[in-house]
Amino acid sequence: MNLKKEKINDVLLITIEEREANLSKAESFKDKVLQDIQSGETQLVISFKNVTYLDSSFLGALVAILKNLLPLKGQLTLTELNEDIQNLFELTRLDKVFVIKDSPETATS
Amino acid sequence: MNHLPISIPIEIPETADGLYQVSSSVLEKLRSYGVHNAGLLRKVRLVLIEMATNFLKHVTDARARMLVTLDVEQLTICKTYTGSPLRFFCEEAGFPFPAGTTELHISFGKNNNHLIAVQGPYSFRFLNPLVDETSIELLPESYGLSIITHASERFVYAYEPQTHRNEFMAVLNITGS
Repeated sequence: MNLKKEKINDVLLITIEEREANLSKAESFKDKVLQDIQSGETQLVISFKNVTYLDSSFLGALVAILKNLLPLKGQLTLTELNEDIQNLFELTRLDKVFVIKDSPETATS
Repeated sequence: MNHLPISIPIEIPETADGLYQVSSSVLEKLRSYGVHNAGLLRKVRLVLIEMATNFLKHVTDARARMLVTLDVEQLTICKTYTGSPLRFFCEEAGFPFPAGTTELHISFGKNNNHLIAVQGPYSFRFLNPLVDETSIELLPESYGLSIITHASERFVYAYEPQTHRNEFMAVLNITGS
């Protein structure tokens, strides 16, 4: 699971550098982000600019990450979702749960 | 569309990394048969990938099959395999469902709850995922069945006890999608 990480002020911007966010990568992605949370990162922005498709396994990983941030009063923002991915969040009503922003600039500000 | 129905067998790759390409090939074939509705094709991809992902996670039967069938008014995506019936938790009833049972709340694990309509002793239709949206803590972490239920017009499971054949079938309407 290839991730690019960049610290912008208090925010950790994580860019997924894979085209498919799927079953093969969901567990590894979750583990890596949970490690970041354990290291003290609680303001996370995840960019999907390179991701063509996201499946249910990855959705589950994102929900698990959000649950881990909850007791730490952290924030998880998702950004740069393509139309298919945005549609998937709407279909599952998770667009009402996650904070979704158009660009990393608005997500990290 | 007088050449219909047509069937497209799905070759499941060994890992989930090949599924997007498989779904793209299916969408291309559907386009070649005159299906151009972008919303419908998006739903087909969702159902295909989620059914196939479930296949990779749970099905070990070498004779397991997935098939897409395009007809004039409907498109069906069907997964069949031989093995034990689908496992779920339900306080009220289990297989075989007693005669007269209509709707049930069933669960496939933590927060993965669904409302189903019983269609026979070993058959039911997924009606609606039951999600408690009042708390993030109570959100499910499994969305495969929910996605298929929402993306299709009808999503049905059936089991044949004599042959041990399991079937998941999602139906999408060609018109009005």
